[in-house]
Amino acid sequence: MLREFLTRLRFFVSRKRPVDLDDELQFHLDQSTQANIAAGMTPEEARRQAGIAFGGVERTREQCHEQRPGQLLDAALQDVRYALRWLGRNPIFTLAVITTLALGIGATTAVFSVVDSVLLRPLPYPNSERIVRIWNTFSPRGMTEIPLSEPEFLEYRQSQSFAQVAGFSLGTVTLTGTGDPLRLVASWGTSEFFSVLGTQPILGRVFSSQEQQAGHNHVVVLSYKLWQNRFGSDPEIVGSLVHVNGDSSVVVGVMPSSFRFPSEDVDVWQPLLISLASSNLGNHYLNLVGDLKPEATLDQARAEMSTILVRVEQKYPSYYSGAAGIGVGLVPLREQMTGNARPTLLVLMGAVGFMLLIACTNVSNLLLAKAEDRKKEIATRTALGASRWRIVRQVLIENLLLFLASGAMGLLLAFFCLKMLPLGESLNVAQFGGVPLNLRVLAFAAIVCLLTGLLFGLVPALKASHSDFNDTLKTSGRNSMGNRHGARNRSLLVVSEIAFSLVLLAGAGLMIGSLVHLLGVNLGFDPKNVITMRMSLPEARYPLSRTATFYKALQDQVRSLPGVEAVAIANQVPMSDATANTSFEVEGRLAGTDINVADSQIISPDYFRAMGILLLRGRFLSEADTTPAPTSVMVNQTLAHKIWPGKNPIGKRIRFRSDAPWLSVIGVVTDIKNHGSNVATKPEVYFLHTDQPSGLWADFRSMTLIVRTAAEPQQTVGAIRGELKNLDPNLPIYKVLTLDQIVSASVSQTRFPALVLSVFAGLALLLAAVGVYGVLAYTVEQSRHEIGVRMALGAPRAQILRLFLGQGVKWAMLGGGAGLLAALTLVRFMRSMLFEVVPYDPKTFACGAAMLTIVVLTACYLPALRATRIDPMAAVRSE
Amino acid sequence: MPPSTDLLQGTLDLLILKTLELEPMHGWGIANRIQQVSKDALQIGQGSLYPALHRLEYKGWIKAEWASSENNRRAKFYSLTRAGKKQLEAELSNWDRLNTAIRLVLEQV
Repeated sequence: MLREFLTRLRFFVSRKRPVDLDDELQFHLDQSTQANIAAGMTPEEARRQAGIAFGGVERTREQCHEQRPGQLLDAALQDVRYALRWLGRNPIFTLAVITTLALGIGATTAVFSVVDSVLLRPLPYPNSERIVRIWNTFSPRGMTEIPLSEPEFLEYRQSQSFAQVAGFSLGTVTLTGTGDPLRLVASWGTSEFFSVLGTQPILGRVFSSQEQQAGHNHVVVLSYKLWQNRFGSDPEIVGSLVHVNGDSSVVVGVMPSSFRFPSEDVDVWQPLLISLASSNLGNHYLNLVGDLKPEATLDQARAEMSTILVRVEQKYPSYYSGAAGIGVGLVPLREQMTGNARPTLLVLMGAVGFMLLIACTNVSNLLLAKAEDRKKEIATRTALGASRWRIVRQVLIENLLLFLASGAMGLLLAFFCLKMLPLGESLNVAQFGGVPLNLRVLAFAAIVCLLTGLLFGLVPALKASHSDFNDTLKTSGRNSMGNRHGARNRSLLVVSEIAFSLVLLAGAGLMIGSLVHLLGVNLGFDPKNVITMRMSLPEARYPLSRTATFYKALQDQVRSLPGVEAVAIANQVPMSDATANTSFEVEGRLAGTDINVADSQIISPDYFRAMGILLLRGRFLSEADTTPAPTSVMVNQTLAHKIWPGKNPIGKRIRFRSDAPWLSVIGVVTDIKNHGSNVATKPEVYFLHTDQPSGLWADFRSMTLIVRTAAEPQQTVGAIRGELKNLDPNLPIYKVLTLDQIVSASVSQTRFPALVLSVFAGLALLLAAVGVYGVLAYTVEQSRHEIGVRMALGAPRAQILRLFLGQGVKWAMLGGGAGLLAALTLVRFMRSMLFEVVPYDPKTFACGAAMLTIVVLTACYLPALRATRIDPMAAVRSE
Repeated sequence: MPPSTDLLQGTLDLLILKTLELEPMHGWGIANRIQQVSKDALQIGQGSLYPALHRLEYKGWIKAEWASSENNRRAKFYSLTRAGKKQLEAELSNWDRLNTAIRLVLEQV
């Protein structure tokens, strides 16, 4: 076997000289001739007889050549060379095909690589498929992801379904010491944190269990990014001291760059201390993550957690008495991270699939038309002895070449698209590590390319080979409209193109409609000319009293800057920072009969003026309301309506804890879209920033400065930074954004698919128009003779025009009808992406259909017009 | 010339290998030898002989050398390789089996 292979390989590499074979065959002939002479023939007759006996020398030679190993490859190469020459001779055709296909394949590949990186690629944690996020849910309010309190965590941790359960929280710290102060995203985790995720550090170690105890917890694990950027990838970093929030902590390890949990931008990890005796039930700040035991299923875990929750409720009956409807929610990590990007991506994938189909249809059309043109060439080749298989192979190779070239172009296109689009923010996907064109994506592109090439290239190839030699040469290119079969094929392609385009138009229309609604939402505040920036005062240097003084001084300084109209601080800017919420009691109601929860907004008196929020009743808060102690709060319309429906809320009192003082409601403001344009407003309590929290658990040190200016707000950023430096040179500021930018970013999840779908729909429409134009122009060209005859017989030009425009109308009706049916069945998958637009919005569909009809008729008009300008005499004579 | 018997598929290879077992030969010689030995029953057409020779050479069962023929002309002589000898044995036993099998069927039915 091996020897045979080697021999074949040798002959494959080194060819025999063709002369060899000639000599050999000549020798045979000569021997034969001599034998004949010996038998008594004349030399001439002998040679003739020998030749007859031998048969076709050429054929024998061919057959000997065909024995050579790799002969098939030779023939294929020959086909490729021929194909390249042929494509080179038809540059416009080649260019049209490659451009169309490159668009289709490029877009498909781009979308697929996003799908791949978000939905398909495994998360960079060992065992990531078994990692689950654990939340509390509260069905009466439709709340699905409530963080947990420490006592709840301590109970949940004992679950038998999970190998381990870790608690963690996320926040910011300030790193000082060498260089500028740096604000870092920090995560605090319990001892199980790293082992649940299973990732090993690349340097040093993670926390030991001992470091989870008070007094030993001044250790820090660095992210790869921070280690690189701040510490110059120092291999000796482990063991050195850094200053985190003013405390000196020991660096114990560095995580690999792939480890970005719980958020993409986390810089450091520190131990989270939880006392086993904790009874802090009201502070729901813990995020939970656990790894399921291999034998446990998600349903089992869910059932078990529910029984644990019942146990917790029984343990603390007074706290949970009003919480009927509380439950446990388990969400696999991937689902948690991809969130609502999934339906968007799947819809985009579907859309791009349609676009690819349209592109392929167009190309198929071009190939079919080309095959018609080539009938004569192919008939000639057949006459010269080429087999049908040989012709099919030839055409197929040409088509595959076209598709491969387009695939390569498409990949390039995809690569640039991905480079240019801000995908991470547009899709709102956690752990989005960019979209490299990986092997899977390349394989996908190659498969798309080959499949479409075979599918859409084979039919034209088979058709091309099917031409009957005699018929073709006889008709010599005259094709009347009677070529019904080809015409039907082409019509079918055009109709399906139109149908696909309508599906895309409908999708894009729905998204645009949603976007328009979203942008038209009354935000409740005025985002024009407002700049915001966030800062966090380190706890070590800023006790609460100093925090209040600092922020007061900062606002006073900034207020004196030229062009500044209003200055305020808030713990949270709408649609941006994480919201804090709090539970509260209402005076005169039995404690624990209902759970009253509101977003807790900590603000300075000028907040409403800076944000442009309107007062409905009562008055605004002022500094006087906080001295000597806070006495008042403001609420929003939703809260007022919910707690005191139909009554005047002014003067009513609430408190944040049973041991805290009562606070009077002194004013009601209009609702604002705090959580995004498409999220219903929640109850909100406004509490003045002070050094006396009055039972409100919240972070008073991390605030956003809000500055309303007379003109372009970006221009004041430098001056504000200067004021800040005067007050505290060691304080970093971050998230410097105008309110407009924040609002705009909040609709990006609708704007992005709207934009992409519109581009796809536009391209689809263009391709369909080109397809319609091409087919009709071709039909006109093929029917010159018939048109000439009709005109000669007296048909008016208007009738000819009507004939061809009528064809367009027929296509538009058929394609539009089919597309409408397809769109109606498909748009329901978009439901979760839409905002205040029903999937079956008749207006959108009507618009789409009208647009399509106009485009189709426009595309038909030119060829139809050309048909009317045919000179009947010339047309009839030219045959 | 008596009509030539159609050769069973693959039999030509066997005949060529068997003929070459005795001594190296050129194509003309091989065709002649088979014709003579079979008493003109088997006539090998050049159209199938030479492709077969080339095929066998590509498979490494025979090798070709240019040498002088009996009448002092340069001719291409084929000879069996070691692999060819093994192949011949294998094909012979194959042939025997087939032969026996066919005979059994013919005598029985």
